[in-house]
Amino acid sequence: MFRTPRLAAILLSIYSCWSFSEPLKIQLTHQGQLQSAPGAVIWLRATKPNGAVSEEGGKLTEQAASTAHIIEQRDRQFSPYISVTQVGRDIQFPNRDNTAHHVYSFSEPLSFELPLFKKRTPAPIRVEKPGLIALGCNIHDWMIAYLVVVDSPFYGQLHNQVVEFAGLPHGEYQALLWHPDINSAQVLKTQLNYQGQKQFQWPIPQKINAKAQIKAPVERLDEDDDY
Amino acid sequence: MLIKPIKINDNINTFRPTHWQHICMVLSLALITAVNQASASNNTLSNLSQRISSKGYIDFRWQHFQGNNSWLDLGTGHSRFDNSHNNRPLLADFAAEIKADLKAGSQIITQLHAYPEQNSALEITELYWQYRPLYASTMRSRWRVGFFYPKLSIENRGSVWSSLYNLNYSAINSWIGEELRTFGVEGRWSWKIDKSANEKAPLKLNLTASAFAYNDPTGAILAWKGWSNHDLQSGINNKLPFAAPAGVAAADNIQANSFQSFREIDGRPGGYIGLGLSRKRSFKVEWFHYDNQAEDTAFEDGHYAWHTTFNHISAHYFLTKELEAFGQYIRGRTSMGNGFVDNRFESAFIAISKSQGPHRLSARFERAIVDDLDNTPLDDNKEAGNSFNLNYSYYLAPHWKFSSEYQQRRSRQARRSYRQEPIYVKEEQLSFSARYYF
Repeated sequence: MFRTPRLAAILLSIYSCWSFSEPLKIQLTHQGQLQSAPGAVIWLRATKPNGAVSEEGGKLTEQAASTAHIIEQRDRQFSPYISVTQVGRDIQFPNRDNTAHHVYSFSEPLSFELPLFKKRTPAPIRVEKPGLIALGCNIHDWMIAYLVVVDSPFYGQLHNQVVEFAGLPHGEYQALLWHPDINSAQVLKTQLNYQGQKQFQWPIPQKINAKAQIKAPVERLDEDDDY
Repeated sequence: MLIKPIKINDNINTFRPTHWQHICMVLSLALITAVNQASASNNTLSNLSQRISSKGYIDFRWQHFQGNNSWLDLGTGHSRFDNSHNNRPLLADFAAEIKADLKAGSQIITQLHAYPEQNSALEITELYWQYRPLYASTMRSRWRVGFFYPKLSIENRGSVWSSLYNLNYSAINSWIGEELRTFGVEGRWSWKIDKSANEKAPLKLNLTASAFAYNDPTGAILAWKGWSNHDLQSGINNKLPFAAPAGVAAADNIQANSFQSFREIDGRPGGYIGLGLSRKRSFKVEWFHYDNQAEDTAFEDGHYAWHTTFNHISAHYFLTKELEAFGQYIRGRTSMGNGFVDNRFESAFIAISKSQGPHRLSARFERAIVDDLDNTPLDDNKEAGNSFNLNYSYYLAPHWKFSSEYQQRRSRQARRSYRQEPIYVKEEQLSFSARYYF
């Protein structure tokens, strides 16, 4: 006899959780048309009632604090091409290739160079400042990757023309967007008042023409790779 | 070629280390710098297997040749294999390149070849330290210290300086393989000219400069036997055969019965400079000026210094992703004995290569001449020849490549008359190769 109300209660609570936690979907549009930019980074920074952006940033989750953000070198290219992480996180560059890489960045948030001998995973590096990190390889100059370091726990990347934010508290936000082929690789900003709506369409001033990551030339044993 | 009896140039008589003392000094300097770099980094020489990588190939050959005996067997033929190698399996080449990573951007590179058919030992064709420092600007540089090829060749962009297109190299690259190497230091600077840093293949301006020693006899082999088409690369301690003409036997300073290309004889460094433009997988054009600055009266231990200077232009153009046209042109002069031997040499080739999946078809046409500018009797180095090479290869990825090649060379060479041979010779060679790449 107890079972039915208990089951109903469970179902009700699942439904309510599901309905309350329905994520916010952000899409990019230009002249009413959905835009595609795989990997484009969108992050949200809470704004105070007076409109100023909260400087609190957001603490790392336990999982993020205990694991490193991984950017691999695989088949003589970086993977992922574009990624996003939070300030304070460790970044690691495992080399999965049977050849050496020489990964570097001259970007302001993190300037470094790493000798990556074949199949080696070096010690992680911590990013202490927000901003854009452009990565390159001194040996394979087509290798390029981007890491956006944000000071907010609310971030995501465009996948199938949408970024989803789950569990976002209601309030005022500054929304930020970055992709190498949007707005000449400069950050785009807009205001977002989140009151539980399911969707936010962000109008972009120009049509997006996002280029794919450069493919590594086919490696052949009969060719010298230093031509 | 006759060797004029001249006195030993003894201007430099304070400390004259031997050939091998010189080599050891330069190599030790390169090694000390390299090891210092390695130990300065956090990771010393631990995890050696992660730092050392190798690649190379074994070339199994079958060929049929018609023409004069090979110059390697003191004949007047211009090939590496002659009819003594006909119709039997040959182990043509064992080639390996070993790279040791010392720290970021710093490596020691060794290239080795073994040619069992020529009875030679293991040839160290390159041994150098390479360093690519990192700059925040769009400029990149590369430093090489040691014994290495100046990067003149378009053809020899295959593994271990092999030709990607043919079994037999062009005359220019065969000569580079025989007796041209940098034993010194070279810097190369590349500037990205395109504004967009995100450009897939930026346009680059390339500047190369080098100072070297140990290339004083360069030019001797070219003067003696003329141009060739083959795939033999000389090692650091090379000894290529030389048969003294009758007049030389009477000379006071007798040329040894072998040429050792990589020797320092006059104590004077040489240099080269290169300037070019390139866009990866699109085009490359480069000009080089080379001068070994040899004192052409110097003689030591059976070997003369040859003053050799040339201009070299190379161009490579990808008409489509799979269709390439390329060529090299060289024009220079080599002299010894204060004008006793004075030759102008010139060669050019143009090649076209089409690849489609594993197939590649390449054709090369070339002309190679030597003009004798001296009036020394019985020593006419004059030569003029045309060659044609057609090669088809099938790449069975990733380890095997099968090639078939027809090489034809028609040449007139004055020195053949001193041996009562016809001046004009047509040489033909059909080759089949199976290469295992590793």
